[in-house]
Amino acid sequence: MAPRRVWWFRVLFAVLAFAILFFALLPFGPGEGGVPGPELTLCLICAWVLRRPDYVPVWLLVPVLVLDDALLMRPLGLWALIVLLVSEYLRRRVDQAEQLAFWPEVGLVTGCITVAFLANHLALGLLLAQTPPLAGQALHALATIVFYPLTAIFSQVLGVRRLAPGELDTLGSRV
Amino acid sequence: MARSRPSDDVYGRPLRRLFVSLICVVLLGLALLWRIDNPRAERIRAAIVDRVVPSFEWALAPLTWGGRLVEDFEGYTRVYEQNQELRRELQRMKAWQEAAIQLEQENARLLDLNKVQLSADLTYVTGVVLTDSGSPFRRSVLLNIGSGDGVRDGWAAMDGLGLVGRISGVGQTTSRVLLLTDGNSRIPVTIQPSGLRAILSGDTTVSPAIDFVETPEDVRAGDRVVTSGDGGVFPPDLLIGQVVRDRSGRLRVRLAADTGRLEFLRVLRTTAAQPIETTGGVITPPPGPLQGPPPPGGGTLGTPQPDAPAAAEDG
Repeated sequence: MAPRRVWWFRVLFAVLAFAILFFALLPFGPGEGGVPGPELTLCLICAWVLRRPDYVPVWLLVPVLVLDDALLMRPLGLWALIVLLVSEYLRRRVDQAEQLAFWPEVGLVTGCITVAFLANHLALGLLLAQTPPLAGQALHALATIVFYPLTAIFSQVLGVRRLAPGELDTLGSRV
Repeated sequence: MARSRPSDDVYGRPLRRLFVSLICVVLLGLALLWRIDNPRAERIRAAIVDRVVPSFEWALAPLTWGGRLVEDFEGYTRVYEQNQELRRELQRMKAWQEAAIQLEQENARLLDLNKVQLSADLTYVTGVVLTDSGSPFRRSVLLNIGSGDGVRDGWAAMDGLGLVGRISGVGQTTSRVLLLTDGNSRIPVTIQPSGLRAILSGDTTVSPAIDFVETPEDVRAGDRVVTSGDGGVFPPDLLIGQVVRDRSGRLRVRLAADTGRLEFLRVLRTTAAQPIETTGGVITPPPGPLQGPPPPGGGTLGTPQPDAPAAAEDG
Protein backbone atom coordinates (compact mmCIF):
# COMPACT_ATOMS: atom_id res chain seq x y z
CA MET A 1 0.00 0.00 0.00
CA ALA A 2 1.10 3.53 -0.59
CA PRO A 3 2.43 5.18 2.57
CA ARG A 4 0.66 7.97 4.33
CA ARG A 5 2.80 10.66 2.72
CA VAL A 6 1.43 9.92 -0.73
CA TRP A 7 -2.15 10.13 0.49
CA TRP A 8 -1.35 13.37 2.21
CA PHE A 9 -0.14 14.86 -1.08
CA ARG A 10 -3.13 13.50 -2.97
CA VAL A 11 -5.43 15.26 -0.54
CA LEU A 12 -3.31 18.40 -0.87
CA PHE A 13 -3.72 18.26 -4.64
CA ALA A 14 -7.49 17.97 -4.35
CA VAL A 15 -7.57 20.88 -1.91
CA LEU A 16 -5.43 23.07 -4.19
CA ALA A 17 -7.55 22.27 -7.23
CA PHE A 18 -10.69 23.06 -5.28
CA ALA A 19 -9.22 26.34 -4.02
CA ILE A 20 -8.40 27.39 -7.59
CA LEU A 21 -11.95 26.60 -8.65
CA PHE A 22 -13.35 28.43 -5.65
CA PHE A 23 -11.43 31.62 -6.33
CA ALA A 24 -12.35 31.50 -10.00
CA LEU A 25 -16.01 31.39 -8.99
CA LEU A 26 -15.97 34.37 -6.62
CA PRO A 27 -18.25 37.03 -8.09
CA PHE A 28 -15.85 39.94 -8.49
CA GLY A 29 -17.39 41.20 -11.68
CA PRO A 30 -17.46 38.70 -14.51
CA GLY A 31 -13.88 39.45 -15.59
CA GLU A 32 -14.72 42.18 -18.01
CA GLY A 33 -12.16 43.25 -20.53
CA GLY A 34 -8.56 42.91 -19.51
CA VAL A 35 -6.39 39.84 -19.85
CA PRO A 36 -7.99 36.48 -19.09
CA GLY A 37 -6.33 34.77 -16.14
CA PRO A 38 -4.22 31.63 -16.40
CA GLU A 39 -5.62 28.11 -16.36
CA LEU A 40 -3.92 27.25 -13.08
CA THR A 41 -5.33 23.75 -12.74
CA LEU A 42 -3.54 22.72 -15.94
CA CYS A 43 -0.26 24.23 -14.66
CA LEU A 44 -0.61 22.40 -11.38
CA ILE A 45 -1.33 19.07 -13.05
CA CYS A 46 1.65 19.39 -15.42
CA ALA A 47 4.00 20.35 -12.61
CA TRP A 48 2.93 17.52 -10.32
CA VAL A 49 2.83 14.84 -13.02
CA LEU A 50 6.36 15.71 -14.12
CA ARG A 51 7.61 15.53 -10.52
CA ARG A 52 5.66 12.81 -8.80
CA PRO A 53 3.18 11.02 -11.07
CA ASP A 54 2.02 8.89 -8.15
CA TYR A 55 0.64 11.97 -6.38
CA VAL A 56 -1.87 12.64 -9.16
CA PRO A 57 -3.37 9.32 -10.22
CA VAL A 58 -5.90 9.27 -13.03
CA TRP A 59 -8.81 8.45 -10.72
CA LEU A 60 -8.10 11.68 -8.82
CA LEU A 61 -7.60 13.83 -11.93
CA VAL A 62 -10.80 12.91 -13.70
CA PRO A 63 -13.37 13.93 -11.04
CA VAL A 64 -11.51 17.20 -10.45
CA LEU A 65 -11.45 17.99 -14.17
CA VAL A 66 -15.09 17.06 -14.76
CA LEU A 67 -16.17 19.16 -11.78
CA ASP A 68 -14.18 22.09 -13.19
CA ASP A 69 -15.86 21.65 -16.55
CA ALA A 70 -19.31 21.56 -15.02
CA LEU A 71 -18.90 24.57 -12.74
CA LEU A 72 -16.93 26.78 -15.13
CA MET A 73 -19.54 26.45 -17.90
CA ARG A 74 -17.16 24.78 -20.32
CA PRO A 75 -18.27 22.07 -22.73
CA LEU A 76 -18.69 19.03 -20.51
CA GLY A 77 -15.83 16.56 -20.78
CA LEU A 78 -13.86 18.11 -23.62
CA TRP A 79 -11.26 20.04 -21.66
CA ALA A 80 -11.09 17.20 -19.14
CA LEU A 81 -10.26 14.79 -21.95
CA ILE A 82 -7.56 17.07 -23.38
CA VAL A 83 -5.91 17.64 -20.00
CA LEU A 84 -6.04 13.92 -19.24
CA LEU A 85 -4.28 13.14 -22.53
CA VAL A 86 -1.64 15.81 -21.82
CA SER A 87 -1.05 14.37 -18.36
CA GLU A 88 -0.71 10.85 -19.80
CA TYR A 89 1.80 12.08 -22.34
CA LEU A 90 3.86 13.79 -19.62
CA ARG A 91 3.62 10.70 -17.41
CA ARG A 92 5.18 8.66 -20.18
CA ARG A 93 7.95 11.22 -20.59
CA VAL A 94 8.77 10.89 -16.91
CA ASP A 95 9.42 7.17 -17.36
CA GLN A 96 11.85 7.79 -20.19
CA ALA A 97 13.82 10.90 -19.40
CA GLU A 98 14.84 11.18 -15.81
CA GLN A 99 15.99 14.48 -14.41
CA LEU A 100 14.76 16.88 -16.99
CA ALA A 101 16.37 20.26 -16.26
CA PHE A 102 14.08 23.12 -15.33
CA TRP A 103 14.03 25.16 -18.53
CA PRO A 104 13.71 22.21 -20.91
CA GLU A 105 10.81 21.12 -18.71
CA VAL A 106 9.21 24.56 -19.08
CA GLY A 107 9.71 24.29 -22.82
CA LEU A 108 8.06 20.87 -22.92
CA VAL A 109 5.08 22.06 -20.91
CA THR A 110 4.78 25.20 -23.04
CA GLY A 111 4.44 22.96 -26.07
CA CYS A 112 1.85 20.83 -24.30
CA ILE A 113 -0.22 23.84 -23.22
CA THR A 114 -0.18 25.28 -26.74
CA VAL A 115 -1.26 21.96 -28.22
CA ALA A 116 -3.99 21.62 -25.59
CA PHE A 117 -5.48 25.02 -26.39
CA LEU A 118 -5.22 24.42 -30.14
CA ALA A 119 -6.87 21.02 -29.75
CA ASN A 120 -9.66 22.56 -27.69
CA HIS A 121 -10.30 25.24 -30.31
CA LEU A 122 -10.14 22.74 -33.13
CA ALA A 123 -12.48 20.30 -31.39
CA LEU A 124 -15.02 23.05 -30.74
CA GLY A 125 -14.75 24.05 -34.38
CA LEU A 126 -15.28 20.46 -35.51
CA LEU A 127 -18.28 20.10 -33.20
CA LEU A 128 -19.64 23.32 -34.77
CA ALA A 129 -19.96 24.76 -31.27
CA GLN A 130 -19.59 28.42 -30.52
CA THR A 131 -15.87 29.13 -30.02
CA PRO A 132 -14.52 31.90 -27.80
CA PRO A 133 -12.61 34.68 -29.60
CA LEU A 134 -9.25 33.45 -30.86
CA ALA A 135 -7.25 36.41 -29.57
CA GLY A 136 -8.69 36.01 -26.09
CA GLN A 137 -7.87 32.32 -26.10
CA ALA A 138 -4.32 33.00 -27.23
CA LEU A 139 -3.92 35.41 -24.31
CA HIS A 140 -5.40 32.79 -21.99
CA ALA A 141 -2.85 30.23 -23.20
CA LEU A 142 -0.04 32.77 -22.88
CA ALA A 143 -1.03 33.59 -19.31
CA THR A 144 -1.05 29.88 -18.53
CA ILE A 145 2.44 29.46 -20.01
CA VAL A 146 3.75 32.45 -18.06
CA PHE A 147 2.35 31.06 -14.82
CA TYR A 148 3.76 27.58 -15.31
CA PRO A 149 7.29 28.24 -13.91
CA LEU A 150 5.75 29.90 -10.85
CA THR A 151 3.47 26.93 -10.28
CA ALA A 152 6.41 24.56 -10.69
CA ILE A 153 8.47 26.47 -8.13
CA PHE A 154 5.48 26.60 -5.80
CA SER A 155 5.05 22.83 -6.07
CA GLN A 156 8.75 22.34 -5.41
CA VAL A 157 8.43 24.45 -2.28
CA LEU A 158 5.46 22.36 -1.14
CA GLY A 159 7.69 19.32 -1.27
CA VAL A 160 6.66 17.80 -4.59
CA ARG A 161 10.18 16.89 -5.74
CA ARG A 162 11.44 14.48 -8.28
CA LEU A 163 12.98 11.34 -6.79
CA ALA A 164 16.73 11.17 -7.03
CA PRO A 165 18.05 8.14 -8.91
CA GLY A 166 18.35 5.19 -6.58
CA GLU A 167 15.58 6.35 -4.30
CA LEU A 168 12.62 4.08 -3.92
CA ASP A 169 9.28 5.18 -5.18
CA THR A 170 6.17 4.64 -3.14
CA LEU A 171 5.48 1.23 -4.54
CA GLY A 172 8.89 0.03 -3.43
CA SER A 173 10.38 -0.51 -6.87
CA ARG A 174 13.53 1.17 -8.05
CA VAL A 175 13.01 4.20 -10.25
CA MET B 1 12.34 -3.54 -0.41
CA ALA B 2 13.95 -3.06 -3.76
CA ARG B 3 12.14 -5.92 -5.35
CA SER B 4 11.10 -5.60 -8.91
CA ARG B 5 7.61 -6.78 -9.45
CA PRO B 6 7.28 -8.57 -12.76
CA SER B 7 3.59 -9.28 -12.18
CA ASP B 8 2.97 -5.58 -11.95
CA ASP B 9 4.56 -4.98 -15.35
CA VAL B 10 2.85 -7.87 -17.04
CA TYR B 11 -0.68 -7.19 -15.82
CA GLY B 12 -0.58 -3.69 -14.36
CA ARG B 13 0.40 -1.76 -17.44
CA PRO B 14 -2.09 -3.15 -19.93
CA LEU B 15 -4.81 -2.90 -17.30
CA ARG B 16 -3.91 0.69 -16.58
CA ARG B 17 -3.86 1.50 -20.27
CA LEU B 18 -7.28 -0.09 -20.68
CA PHE B 19 -8.57 1.94 -17.74
CA VAL B 20 -7.26 5.21 -19.16
CA SER B 21 -8.65 4.51 -22.63
CA LEU B 22 -12.00 3.68 -21.08
CA ILE B 23 -12.06 7.00 -19.24
CA CYS B 24 -11.11 8.78 -22.46
CA VAL B 25 -14.00 7.14 -24.27
CA VAL B 26 -16.39 8.12 -21.47
CA LEU B 27 -15.19 11.74 -21.55
CA LEU B 28 -15.48 11.84 -25.32
CA GLY B 29 -19.01 10.48 -24.99
CA LEU B 30 -19.78 13.19 -22.47
CA ALA B 31 -18.50 15.88 -24.85
CA LEU B 32 -20.57 14.43 -27.69
CA LEU B 33 -23.62 14.26 -25.44
CA TRP B 34 -23.06 17.91 -24.57
CA ARG B 35 -23.03 18.73 -28.27
CA ILE B 36 -25.84 16.49 -29.46
CA ASP B 37 -28.32 16.58 -26.60
CA ASN B 38 -27.41 19.93 -25.15
CA PRO B 39 -30.50 20.46 -22.96
CA ARG B 40 -29.96 17.14 -21.21
CA ALA B 41 -26.25 17.86 -20.67
CA GLU B 42 -27.08 21.30 -19.31
CA ARG B 43 -29.58 19.69 -16.93
CA ILE B 44 -26.80 17.40 -15.70
CA ARG B 45 -24.63 20.47 -15.23
CA ALA B 46 -27.38 22.32 -13.38
CA ALA B 47 -27.81 19.32 -11.09
CA ILE B 48 -24.06 19.24 -10.34
CA VAL B 49 -23.99 22.98 -9.66
CA ASP B 50 -27.05 22.64 -7.49
CA ARG B 51 -25.31 20.00 -5.39
CA VAL B 52 -21.89 21.62 -5.15
CA VAL B 53 -22.26 25.37 -4.92
CA PRO B 54 -24.71 25.73 -2.00
CA SER B 55 -22.41 23.49 0.06
CA PHE B 56 -19.74 26.15 0.11
CA GLU B 57 -22.00 29.19 0.12
CA TRP B 58 -20.90 29.87 3.70
CA ALA B 59 -17.34 30.40 2.47
CA LEU B 60 -18.30 32.40 -0.61
CA ALA B 61 -20.21 35.11 1.19
CA PRO B 62 -17.50 36.45 3.56
CA LEU B 63 -14.80 36.28 0.88
CA THR B 64 -16.98 38.15 -1.58
CA TRP B 65 -17.69 40.71 1.10
CA GLY B 66 -13.96 41.08 1.82
CA GLY B 67 -13.13 41.46 -1.85
CA ARG B 68 -15.76 44.15 -2.28
CA LEU B 69 -14.34 45.91 0.77
CA VAL B 70 -10.89 45.99 -0.85
CA GLU B 71 -12.40 47.30 -4.07
CA ASP B 72 -14.17 50.00 -2.12
CA PHE B 73 -11.01 50.83 -0.25
CA GLU B 74 -9.25 51.50 -3.53
CA GLY B 75 -11.89 54.10 -4.25
CA TYR B 76 -11.34 55.58 -0.82
CA THR B 77 -8.43 57.70 -1.98
CA ARG B 78 -10.59 60.13 -3.90
CA VAL B 79 -13.35 60.18 -1.36
CA TYR B 80 -13.53 63.97 -1.16
CA GLU B 81 -14.09 64.51 -4.86
CA GLN B 82 -16.59 61.68 -4.85
CA ASN B 83 -18.45 63.28 -2.01
CA GLN B 84 -18.69 66.58 -3.88
CA GLU B 85 -19.78 64.77 -7.01
CA LEU B 86 -22.46 62.88 -5.11
CA ARG B 87 -23.79 66.07 -3.54
CA ARG B 88 -24.16 67.69 -6.94
CA GLU B 89 -25.81 64.59 -8.30
CA LEU B 90 -28.16 64.49 -5.35
CA GLN B 91 -29.23 68.05 -6.06
CA ARG B 92 -30.05 67.15 -9.63
CA MET B 93 -31.80 64.00 -8.57
CA LYS B 94 -34.03 65.87 -6.14
CA ALA B 95 -35.40 67.89 -9.01
CA TRP B 96 -36.03 64.70 -10.91
CA GLN B 97 -37.62 63.09 -7.92
CA GLU B 98 -40.04 65.97 -7.65
CA ALA B 99 -40.91 65.63 -11.32
CA ALA B 100 -41.33 61.90 -10.95
CA ILE B 101 -43.67 62.19 -8.00
CA GLN B 102 -45.83 64.69 -9.85
CA LEU B 103 -45.91 62.48 -12.92
CA GLU B 104 -46.77 59.46 -10.80
CA GLN B 105 -49.69 61.29 -9.26
CA GLU B 106 -50.88 62.44 -12.65
CA ASN B 107 -50.50 58.95 -13.99
CA ALA B 108 -52.51 57.52 -11.09
CA ARG B 109 -55.27 60.04 -11.73
CA LEU B 110 -55.37 59.25 -15.43
CA LEU B 111 -55.36 55.53 -14.79
CA ASP B 112 -58.19 56.01 -12.37
CA LEU B 113 -60.15 57.98 -14.98
CA ASN B 114 -59.65 55.22 -17.50
CA LYS B 115 -60.28 52.39 -15.02
CA VAL B 116 -57.17 50.67 -16.36
CA GLN B 117 -56.18 47.44 -14.72
CA LEU B 118 -52.43 46.91 -14.61
CA SER B 119 -51.07 43.47 -15.34
CA ALA B 120 -50.39 41.60 -12.15
CA ASP B 121 -48.04 39.27 -14.00
CA LEU B 122 -44.98 41.46 -13.65
CA THR B 123 -43.98 40.58 -10.13
CA TYR B 124 -40.49 39.50 -9.29
CA VAL B 125 -38.35 37.24 -7.12
CA THR B 126 -35.11 38.68 -5.82
CA GLY B 127 -31.98 36.55 -5.60
CA VAL B 128 -28.43 37.03 -4.38
CA VAL B 129 -25.54 36.46 -6.75
CA LEU B 130 -23.55 33.45 -5.52
CA THR B 131 -20.80 32.94 -8.05
CA ASP B 132 -19.40 34.02 -11.36
CA SER B 133 -19.02 31.84 -14.39
CA GLY B 134 -15.35 31.63 -13.40
CA SER B 135 -14.20 31.27 -16.98
CA PRO B 136 -12.79 34.17 -19.00
CA PHE B 137 -15.05 33.55 -21.99
CA ARG B 138 -18.38 33.02 -20.31
CA ARG B 139 -20.52 35.73 -18.80
CA SER B 140 -23.02 34.34 -16.37
CA VAL B 141 -23.80 34.43 -12.68
CA LEU B 142 -25.41 31.95 -10.34
CA LEU B 143 -28.35 33.03 -8.18
CA ASN B 144 -29.45 31.44 -4.92
CA ILE B 145 -33.03 30.95 -6.08
CA GLY B 146 -34.20 28.03 -8.14
CA SER B 147 -37.19 26.01 -9.22
CA GLY B 148 -38.13 25.72 -5.55
CA ASP B 149 -38.87 29.45 -5.64
CA GLY B 150 -40.79 29.10 -8.87
CA VAL B 151 -38.03 30.33 -11.16
CA ARG B 152 -38.29 29.03 -14.70
CA ASP B 153 -36.03 29.02 -17.72
CA GLY B 154 -36.16 32.10 -19.91
CA TRP B 155 -37.30 34.64 -17.35
CA ALA B 156 -35.69 38.06 -17.42
CA ALA B 157 -33.25 39.16 -14.71
CA MET B 158 -32.72 42.83 -13.91
CA ASP B 159 -30.71 44.77 -11.41
CA GLY B 160 -32.44 47.88 -10.05
CA LEU B 161 -32.12 49.74 -13.33
CA GLY B 162 -31.81 47.67 -16.43
CA LEU B 163 -31.94 44.21 -17.92
CA VAL B 164 -29.00 42.00 -17.00
CA GLY B 165 -29.78 38.73 -18.70
CA ARG B 166 -32.07 35.76 -18.73
CA ILE B 167 -32.39 32.61 -16.71
CA SER B 168 -30.78 29.69 -18.48
CA GLY B 169 -30.51 26.60 -16.36
CA VAL B 170 -32.49 26.08 -13.17
CA GLY B 171 -31.69 23.75 -10.32
CA GLN B 172 -33.68 23.12 -7.18
CA THR B 173 -32.01 25.91 -5.20
CA THR B 174 -29.82 27.68 -7.76
CA SER B 175 -30.33 29.16 -11.19
CA ARG B 176 -27.93 30.54 -13.75
CA VAL B 177 -28.37 33.93 -15.40
CA LEU B 178 -26.86 34.19 -18.85
CA LEU B 179 -25.73 37.83 -19.04
CA LEU B 180 -26.40 39.98 -22.09
CA THR B 181 -22.64 40.19 -22.63
CA ASP B 182 -22.19 36.40 -23.03
CA GLY B 183 -21.35 35.16 -26.49
CA ASN B 184 -24.49 33.03 -26.57
CA SER B 185 -26.94 35.77 -25.65
CA ARG B 186 -29.38 37.00 -28.32
CA ILE B 187 -32.23 39.32 -27.33
CA PRO B 188 -34.80 40.99 -29.60
CA VAL B 189 -34.78 44.72 -28.93
CA THR B 190 -36.36 47.96 -30.07
CA ILE B 191 -34.32 51.13 -30.49
CA GLN B 192 -36.48 53.75 -28.95
CA PRO B 193 -37.16 56.97 -30.87
CA SER B 194 -36.91 55.34 -34.28
CA GLY B 195 -38.77 52.19 -33.26
CA LEU B 196 -36.39 50.00 -35.25
CA ARG B 197 -36.25 46.31 -34.38
CA ALA B 198 -32.88 44.63 -33.91
CA ILE B 199 -31.13 41.76 -32.19
CA LEU B 200 -28.78 42.41 -29.29
CA SER B 201 -25.98 39.85 -29.48
CA GLY B 202 -23.34 39.50 -26.80
CA ASP B 203 -19.72 38.88 -27.73
CA THR B 204 -18.02 38.67 -24.29
CA THR B 205 -17.07 42.35 -24.46
CA VAL B 206 -18.52 44.84 -22.00
CA SER B 207 -21.00 46.29 -24.48
CA PRO B 208 -22.99 43.86 -26.63
CA ALA B 209 -23.46 44.58 -30.33
CA ILE B 210 -26.67 45.44 -32.18
CA ASP B 211 -27.25 43.27 -35.22
CA PHE B 212 -29.80 43.19 -38.02
CA VAL B 213 -30.80 46.84 -37.97
CA GLU B 214 -32.73 47.61 -41.11
CA THR B 215 -31.57 51.20 -41.51
CA PRO B 216 -28.52 51.79 -39.34
CA GLU B 217 -28.36 55.43 -40.41
CA ASP B 218 -31.54 56.12 -38.42
CA VAL B 219 -29.84 55.04 -35.21
CA ARG B 220 -27.89 57.60 -33.24
CA ALA B 221 -25.58 57.27 -30.31
CA GLY B 222 -27.55 57.88 -27.14
CA ASP B 223 -30.78 56.27 -28.34
CA ARG B 224 -32.54 54.14 -25.75
CA VAL B 225 -32.62 50.40 -26.27
CA VAL B 226 -35.44 48.38 -24.72
CA THR B 227 -36.62 44.81 -25.14
CA SER B 228 -39.17 44.42 -27.88
CA GLY B 229 -40.94 41.34 -26.58
CA ASP B 230 -40.77 39.74 -30.02
CA GLY B 231 -41.13 36.01 -29.95
CA GLY B 232 -42.93 36.13 -26.64
CA VAL B 233 -39.78 35.24 -24.70
CA PHE B 234 -39.33 38.48 -22.81
CA PRO B 235 -41.73 41.04 -21.47
CA PRO B 236 -41.50 44.11 -23.72
CA ASP B 237 -40.16 47.55 -22.77
CA LEU B 238 -37.52 46.58 -20.23
CA LEU B 239 -34.69 49.10 -20.29
CA ILE B 240 -31.40 47.73 -21.59
CA GLY B 241 -29.19 50.75 -22.19
CA GLN B 242 -28.02 53.34 -24.67
CA VAL B 243 -26.62 53.05 -28.16
CA VAL B 244 -22.93 53.82 -28.61
CA ARG B 245 -20.69 53.48 -31.63
CA ASP B 246 -17.38 51.72 -31.20
CA ARG B 247 -14.18 52.67 -32.99
CA SER B 248 -15.00 50.62 -36.06
CA GLY B 249 -18.40 52.29 -36.32
CA ARG B 250 -20.35 49.25 -35.16
CA LEU B 251 -23.47 49.87 -33.10
CA ARG B 252 -23.21 48.69 -29.53
CA VAL B 253 -25.16 49.14 -26.32
CA ARG B 254 -23.81 50.55 -23.11
CA LEU B 255 -25.81 48.64 -20.54
CA ALA B 256 -27.80 50.53 -17.95
CA ALA B 257 -27.21 47.70 -15.49
CA ASP B 258 -23.86 47.63 -13.72
CA THR B 259 -22.72 44.18 -14.81
CA GLY B 260 -19.37 44.66 -13.12
CA ARG B 261 -20.89 44.54 -9.67
CA LEU B 262 -23.96 42.42 -9.47
CA GLU B 263 -25.19 41.66 -5.98
CA PHE B 264 -28.97 41.32 -6.07
CA LEU B 265 -30.98 40.49 -9.15
CA ARG B 266 -34.71 40.67 -9.74
CA VAL B 267 -36.10 37.82 -11.73
CA LEU B 268 -39.34 38.89 -13.40
CA ARG B 269 -42.14 36.34 -13.28
CA THR B 270 -43.49 36.20 -16.77
CA THR B 271 -46.14 33.84 -17.91
CA ALA B 272 -45.55 32.44 -21.34
CA ALA B 273 -47.71 34.04 -24.01
CA GLN B 274 -50.60 31.78 -24.92
CA PRO B 275 -50.10 30.53 -28.45
CA ILE B 276 -53.12 30.97 -30.70
CA GLU B 277 -53.52 27.60 -32.34
CA THR B 278 -56.79 27.75 -34.25
CA THR B 279 -58.13 30.35 -36.64
CA GLY B 280 -61.30 30.62 -34.58
CA GLY B 281 -64.69 29.14 -35.29
CA VAL B 282 -67.21 30.73 -37.65
CA ILE B 283 -69.75 32.80 -35.74
CA THR B 284 -73.12 31.81 -37.08
CA PRO B 285 -76.49 33.45 -36.42
CA PRO B 286 -78.77 31.48 -34.11
CA PRO B 287 -80.87 28.94 -36.00
CA GLY B 288 -84.17 30.37 -37.16
CA PRO B 289 -87.57 28.81 -36.64
CA LEU B 290 -88.14 25.55 -38.40
CA GLN B 291 -89.82 25.96 -41.72
CA GLY B 292 -91.48 23.45 -43.95
CA PRO B 293 -92.97 20.16 -42.99
CA PRO B 294 -91.80 18.60 -39.72
CA PRO B 295 -89.19 15.85 -40.10
CA PRO B 296 -90.50 12.34 -40.05
CA GLY B 297 -90.43 10.56 -36.70
CA GLY B 298 -92.38 12.13 -33.87
CA GLY B 299 -89.57 11.93 -31.26
CA THR B 300 -87.51 14.82 -32.62
CA LEU B 301 -90.41 17.20 -32.89
CA GLY B 302 -89.98 18.54 -29.41
CA THR B 303 -86.47 19.93 -29.87
CA PRO B 304 -86.92 22.97 -32.12
CA GLN B 305 -89.66 24.28 -29.99
CA PRO B 306 -87.65 26.17 -27.33
CA ASP B 307 -85.99 28.20 -30.13
CA ALA B 308 -89.21 29.37 -31.55
CA PRO B 309 -90.12 32.07 -28.98
CA ALA B 310 -86.54 33.50 -29.05
CA ALA B 311 -86.61 33.76 -32.82
CA ALA B 312 -89.96 35.39 -32.63
CA GLU B 313 -88.59 38.08 -30.31
CA ASP B 314 -85.70 38.77 -32.72
CA GLY B 315 -88.09 39.31 -35.57
